[in-house]
Amino acid sequence: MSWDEKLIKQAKKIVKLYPQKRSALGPLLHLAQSKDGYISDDSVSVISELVGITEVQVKSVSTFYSMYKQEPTGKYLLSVCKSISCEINNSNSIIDIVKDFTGLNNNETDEEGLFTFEAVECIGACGGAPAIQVNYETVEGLSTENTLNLCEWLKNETPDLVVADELQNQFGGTKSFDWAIADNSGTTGSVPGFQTLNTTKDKK
Amino acid sequence: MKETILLTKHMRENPEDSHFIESYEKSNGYSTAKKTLLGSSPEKVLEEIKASNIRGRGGAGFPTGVKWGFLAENEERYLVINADESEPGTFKDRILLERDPHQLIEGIIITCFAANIKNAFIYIRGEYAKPARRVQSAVEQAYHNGYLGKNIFGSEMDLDLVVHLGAGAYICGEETALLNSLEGRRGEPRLKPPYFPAVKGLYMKPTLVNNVETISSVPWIVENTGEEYNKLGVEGSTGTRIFSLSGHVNLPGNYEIEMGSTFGDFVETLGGGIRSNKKVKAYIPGGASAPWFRGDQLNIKMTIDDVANNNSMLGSGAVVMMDEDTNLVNAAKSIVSFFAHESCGQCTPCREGTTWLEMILDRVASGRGRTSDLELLLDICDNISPGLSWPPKMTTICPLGPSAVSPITSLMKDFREEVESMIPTKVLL
Repeated sequence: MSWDEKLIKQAKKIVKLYPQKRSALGPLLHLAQSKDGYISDDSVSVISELVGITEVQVKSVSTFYSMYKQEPTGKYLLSVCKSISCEINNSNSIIDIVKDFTGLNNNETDEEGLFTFEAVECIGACGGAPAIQVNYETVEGLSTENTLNLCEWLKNETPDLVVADELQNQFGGTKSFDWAIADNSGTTGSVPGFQTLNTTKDKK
Repeated sequence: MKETILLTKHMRENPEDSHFIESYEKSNGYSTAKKTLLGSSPEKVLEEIKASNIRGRGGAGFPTGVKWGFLAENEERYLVINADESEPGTFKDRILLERDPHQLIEGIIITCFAANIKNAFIYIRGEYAKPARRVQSAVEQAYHNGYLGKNIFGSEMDLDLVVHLGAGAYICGEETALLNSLEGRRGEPRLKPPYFPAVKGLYMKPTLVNNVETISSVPWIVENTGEEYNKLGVEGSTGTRIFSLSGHVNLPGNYEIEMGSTFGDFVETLGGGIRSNKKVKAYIPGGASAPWFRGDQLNIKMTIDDVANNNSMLGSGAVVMMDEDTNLVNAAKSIVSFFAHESCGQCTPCREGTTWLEMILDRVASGRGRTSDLELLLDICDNISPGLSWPPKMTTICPLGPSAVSPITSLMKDFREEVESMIPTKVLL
């Protein structure tokens, strides 16, 4: 196995969370992505052993879900929403700005590995339409001007940690609801900033 | 009209820290669960839920007490919270997850007590990274305080709760697809029968699948009695409900109201009216799957039954207003594209049909439509949902395919002229 010991240990803990091993497949695919930024063949093989299913079964699942990427994405995954509330609030103009700035078409990554662009379906930010997610951190109430500013800021500052609240304060506008207290947690890398932690079984 | 604040009370009164356990406890949080576990019985809780007449807040509106009553006897039973909120227009579970995760956890504890369940899962859509983080920390705090794990509140009850992150598939909101996904499979809806996860669900064991908002309502109902809850709203649509308002309104957002007032009143008062004082051309009363209403139908009441009687659905409580300048063909195209993208691919009428509908709408929207396209659209729709009636008949395993039909039948019924006007009358060379 080519995952290091620490990662394997973490993976085994995740497997133990579930009554049946196979249920851990989703979280393990997220874990694989947090390592490589995509689902590598190597991870497929490791995961198939961990949950006791064949490699092709792992692939069949990983290719079903749009968030499991089959090839590396850029440092920043820019997901612009195009569903109904955003569509009628000019999400097309936001998509154009991002495409122009990055020079990318849908689902493309630039050569430097900085940006990946995708036009996505509803991200639950309808009250703050139009909206974007940067590495799954939501920014609502975009204007075309602020979208451009956001892209430029990411390119110039290249922050390792992307924080929704920070981006929203700088580049966002109308929100779906009051976000209340600012949160400094965010994401590193183009995968969701969420760790399946061993909160159960071990404790108490 | 005014809001009635039950579910959003704690978060409104404590905007600075509502998601922390200390704050929730200061608002008497977890006291209902503690009282229930130490001094009540599962039967009593089920009675309260039945008396409240609460109906599921995920979209189908199934009576929650009845669903709980179905749960088959078995040593292994599960509770799965459906937090895969992805219906376009909907963002009400997001606020409950982000701002008041402990209310949900308290609801889960009480529900599991009532149903004798020892393992629960919260399935959160993958794109909800921040809400998932908040819920995960809340679960950790609850474990730390002894509200989850072994011998909760010193009682006999054990409960383990796992936060499970999805990975971007709308279809996993369909409960059997969600269960497949949670089992580590492709998120494909299961062929029925078995009809009810309460009989055969996760790992084919009896499973309750409930929406975030439904279970977040449980602590209030148990604390204040089902009878009190039943007094709110109107018959058939009791209690409060969080509506997500979006589109061309001045004040989009989540509003917690008692059901029973009209859409027009809702938009004019809480929603601050339509931007630039424009008129409503059409609106969606309950998420992207719901057939549209016209702007002259704003007097319909916001109850599950009133909306159903007008051949649409209150669904997930997502209201999307489209003003007089909206290009409805583009709007329909956006919704149809959504379903084409999210079709799991199992059933041919949905997999092929939604894609064809998308292609045809695209050519109509871009001025390349053919006069035959209107009938062609309806013909394809008829193959997905025979008779184009409401509630829809299906040639598919789940309602996703028929959902893509809704915007098209709405267009053809009420806005046919607008579609026709986009078809070139001369042959394009």
